[in-house]
Amino acid sequence: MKKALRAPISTLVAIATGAAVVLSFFFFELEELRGLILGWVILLAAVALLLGLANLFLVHFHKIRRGESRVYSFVLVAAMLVTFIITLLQGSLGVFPNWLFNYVQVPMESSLMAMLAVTLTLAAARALQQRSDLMSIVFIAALLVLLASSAPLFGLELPWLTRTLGPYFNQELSVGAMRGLLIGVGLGTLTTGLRVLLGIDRPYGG
Amino acid sequence: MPSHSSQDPEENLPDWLKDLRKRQQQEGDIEPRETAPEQTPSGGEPSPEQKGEEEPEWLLEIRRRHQEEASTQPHRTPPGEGSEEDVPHEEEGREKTGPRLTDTPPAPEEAQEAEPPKEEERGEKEPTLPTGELPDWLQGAEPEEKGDQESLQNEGATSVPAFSQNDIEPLSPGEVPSWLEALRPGAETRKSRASEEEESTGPLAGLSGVLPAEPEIARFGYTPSRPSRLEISENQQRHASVLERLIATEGQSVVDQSQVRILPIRILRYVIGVLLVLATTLPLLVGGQAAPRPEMEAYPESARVYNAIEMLPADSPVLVVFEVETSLYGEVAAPASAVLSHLLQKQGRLVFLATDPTGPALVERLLTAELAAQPSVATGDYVNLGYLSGGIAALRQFSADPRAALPEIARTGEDPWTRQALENVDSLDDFALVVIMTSEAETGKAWIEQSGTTLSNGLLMVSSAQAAPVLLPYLQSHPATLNGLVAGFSGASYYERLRADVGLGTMYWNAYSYALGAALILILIGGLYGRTIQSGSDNQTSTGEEHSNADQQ
Repeated sequence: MKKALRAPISTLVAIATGAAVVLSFFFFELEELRGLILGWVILLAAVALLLGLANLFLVHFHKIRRGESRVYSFVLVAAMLVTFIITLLQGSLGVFPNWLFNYVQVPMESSLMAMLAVTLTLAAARALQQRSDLMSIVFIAALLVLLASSAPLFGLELPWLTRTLGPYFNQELSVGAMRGLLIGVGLGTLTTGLRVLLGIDRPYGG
Repeated sequence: MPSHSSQDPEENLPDWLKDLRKRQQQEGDIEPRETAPEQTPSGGEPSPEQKGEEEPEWLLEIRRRHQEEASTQPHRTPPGEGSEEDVPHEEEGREKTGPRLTDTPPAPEEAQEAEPPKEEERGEKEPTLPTGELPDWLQGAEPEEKGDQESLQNEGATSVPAFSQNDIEPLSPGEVPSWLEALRPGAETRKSRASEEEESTGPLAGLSGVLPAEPEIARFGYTPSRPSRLEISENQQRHASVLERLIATEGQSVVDQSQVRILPIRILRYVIGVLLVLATTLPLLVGGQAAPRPEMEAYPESARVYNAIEMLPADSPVLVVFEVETSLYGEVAAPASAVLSHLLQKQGRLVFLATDPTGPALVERLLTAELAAQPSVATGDYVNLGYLSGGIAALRQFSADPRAALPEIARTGEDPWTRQALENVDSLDDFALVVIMTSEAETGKAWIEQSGTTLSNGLLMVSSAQAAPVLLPYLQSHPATLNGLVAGFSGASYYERLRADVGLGTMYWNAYSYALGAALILILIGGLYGRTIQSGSDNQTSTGEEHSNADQQ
């Protein structure tokens, strides 16, 4: 299909389905249509996940053929194929898939997150060395107060921190700031949705 | 000699000259021209007396003196050759002859006394001047005077007209002596101009002072030489020295400062990692409960979760949505296990769901690792619906019609809605409790937005510490969308204290306390050290700038 013809069709489909879902909240007769459309979305999302896996495989396969980062791409492709085939054969509750998940995937991802803790601590320790203005000092001071008020330090509880200052920071200051942030995010989401419904933004490539 | 016309020159004189003559006549210097011919005795030639009246007095005196000298001294000694003895003679002669050329002109009385004898002498003699003893310049001028006299006699005029348009004699250029020519203004430039601008080409070749035939631009020549000395200012000298220094250091290798800085940072990272690992693992290995758990009034939102579960009837269907990322499973596992343990203790029929592909596997891991001792888990009396694709759209669909969203369990092909836990469940509100276990704030927010309003009792959440600040505002919403929240290790420890239980939360609380203290001290020391270094570098920079400014000044 020519590109010139795809654009108006995809736009029309996007606007029509979006309008149908929105109108279904106002007109109860359209609830079944909404359910139908959302069911299609569930199927399409699953298919999109498979397509993403396939695309990832092809990208790294071509990298292997071209000789770019051959080792890493080969390990990725090999692991993908092995895991996929074995899980396909044994199921997600099978022995080997469970072993792969519990003893390979979970420890690896947990270790990466643990390294993040060390990196953040180092970054916070060097923050004032990189940039030592007023806001940096305020940021580090707030960080220290929050950390100190989260739990007892070395087994010693500081009541004026954990019972007074900590709850004030967490319950009063942060909640107020986060409310404003959520309102802004909500308004932005509403605006973006309207732009997509009206065809102004076309993230689907129309 | 020019020919004189027979016309009366008085008629052609300009007005100003006529006025001048009138004034002179009034003063008595010049006799009218009309009467001039009648007064002339010879009839044409003016008499010496008339001539004497017209000629200036000094000239008359000179004539008289020369006549006397010619008569008394046949030889005249040339000037300068006479001795001093001759001086008195000359002086005597002077007295006799009268004033000389070099003497001052005689007084008017003397001139007047001398005039009558001259007139008498002149009247007897011919009007022409003696030529034998006259000086050269007078002898040379005699013929012309004769000619002038003849012309004047012919014309019958006693005075020579000063100006006549018909008798204009073209003046022949006189021979100007060289010394006089040199004194003339512009003589040098005229000479130089004449020598430089003498035209060499074209029809005006040889002439000077004319416009050049060739334009200046067509003339080739050597450019004038400039002085080779270069004059530069102090500022330019400074810039040149800086440039010279830069060029001199061009070939020198520069020490890579980044390499110097990487090694200390890497060592520091290792040190921090080792310290944090020690602070975390040692309490776990040692055991015990050094850090006190949170107070009973510390987390009211966690208490609400506890109360809601505490009031749960037995065998009530409870939906547990497990939206935990694999990387944050370790943190969420502590509060999740505490809440699930409570739910299982209350004999709730758990139904698990995940919108993340790894969710179902993590559920199984949690149940088998932490809750295996629970009878429901041991017997498998729970429902794991698996993975629900579609993201937020799927949440909306499941909230509205769970059966339509998940008609069957994908991995087994089993219809879950026939299970005892889901027999009477047609909508989300049919669940006694809906517990969302999430590690990301966005997922929790999505569930609140899509499903919170459809639930009459609201949602309960178990989240990581990083998602808690985003979810706390929903605790105060009306209508209630989020009823309770248990977040992080602190929430887990608190919840276990409420249940008077010891689990992962309590186990991790000690390690968490020591690791938190270690991180806080490292950040504090690093900040003070960094601030000290920064202030020192700022002082060095300001001092260097002051020195550079002083150098520039």
